[in-house]
Amino acid sequence: MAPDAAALRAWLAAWVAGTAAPQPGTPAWTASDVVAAAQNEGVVALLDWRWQQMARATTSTTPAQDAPPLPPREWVAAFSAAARDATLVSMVIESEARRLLALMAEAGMPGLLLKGSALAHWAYPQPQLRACGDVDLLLPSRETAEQLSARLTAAGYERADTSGELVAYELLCTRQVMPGWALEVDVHWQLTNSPLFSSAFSFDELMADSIALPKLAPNARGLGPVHALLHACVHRALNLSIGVDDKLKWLYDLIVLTDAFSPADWQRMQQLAADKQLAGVVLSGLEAAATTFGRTLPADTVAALRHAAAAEPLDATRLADWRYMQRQTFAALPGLGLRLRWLWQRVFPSRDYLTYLYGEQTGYAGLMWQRFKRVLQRLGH
Amino acid sequence: MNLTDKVTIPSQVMARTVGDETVILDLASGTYYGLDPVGARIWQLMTEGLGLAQVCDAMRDEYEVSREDIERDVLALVQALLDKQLVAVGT
Repeated sequence: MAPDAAALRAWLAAWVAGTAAPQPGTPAWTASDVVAAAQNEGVVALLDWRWQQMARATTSTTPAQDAPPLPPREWVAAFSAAARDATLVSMVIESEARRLLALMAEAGMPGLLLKGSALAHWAYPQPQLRACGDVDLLLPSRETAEQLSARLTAAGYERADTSGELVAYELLCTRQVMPGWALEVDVHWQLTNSPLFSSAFSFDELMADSIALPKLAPNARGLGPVHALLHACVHRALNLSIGVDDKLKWLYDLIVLTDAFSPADWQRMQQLAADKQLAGVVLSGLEAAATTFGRTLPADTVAALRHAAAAEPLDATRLADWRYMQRQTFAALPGLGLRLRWLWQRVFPSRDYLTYLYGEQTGYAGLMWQRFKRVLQRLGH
Repeated sequence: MNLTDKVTIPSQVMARTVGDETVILDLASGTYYGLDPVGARIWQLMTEGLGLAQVCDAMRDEYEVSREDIERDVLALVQALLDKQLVAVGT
């Protein structure tokens, strides 16, 4: 990340945190630079909302001289326009989620919405404040995921095969919801796509602790707050392992979730993280969020997670080390047969999956060449 | 259409508040519209289930405008929304 980009990200994070009046941006930044950075970080609607709230508070109660200065007017206007677009995206995704949930209700299928698809509807004041690009659903088993996928295909979705059942525990379905926009629905049957963490939670234990999302649909449910936090940290770890950096929206999820934690939730989170050998991953996520948004973590939580992490097989200080994480994933599979199958699926993904990743090419050889280049880039890290 | 009518929102229409404005999306056509703060307030009152006459009463209390002007503006907005099939009216 270039120094200027890092400064811009820090500036955005300060506004998202809303804890202090941030320094004004450097004059070299333009409104479109700042909006583009906020869109990339998934916080454009959140910042627009934050500024609207501040402007309202300033005009109603706070004397002007005490009010923190808002960014330049043209920046605020550019954010409002971008927030409107983000709102439209959020509305389309909500409508699609309702469509999916209606199909599931009709089939009597239980399921859980994951990540932004759920958080947007209970953890944030308005759904559009949590940027989201797809719909993630967790079903009880591969069989039920296949059944839902068949229903989705009948309802106009196209299915893209993943690279193998050991590499991705999900089915990808897409539908052209508007001209030029194919919305993706990820139908999972394990909480994560990596054997490292996939068996940490059963569907039944997640469902038992889940929360209703009645504003979305009568049968809509999402992970409970503690599970949602653990999942967000695991999701972050997997992103880091494939070279996807932290986005502000993901880190801010951790702030929003922990802000609503009761003392019992903190205790339960620590216990579950230790029991599931996720303490290092959770501590890494919480510390990244606290550093980014200028927060202080409870000292007893940090101590407990650090103590548990020391005894875990995964070194959470190496989450961004691709080779290390691949070795750990390989080692997490029980038995040589499964390990060899995983290796095969990693090295020779299906043509459909490669096309999904890299677009149409001349043939399988061309797609494999793209994959080879990507692996080389990762090895170079 | 008259002031005894009530407005309903068709299932293919969604609306959200963004700041002082309301964004309306027609999912059937993929077209979206924006309402300014006054239009957004009328929309909000209509979607709370108030009849058009009650909407006019509430607007007259909130904005210091004559009843005649309010009625004309509310009916004009509802007619524009009807033309775009963003609302349906009935008693």
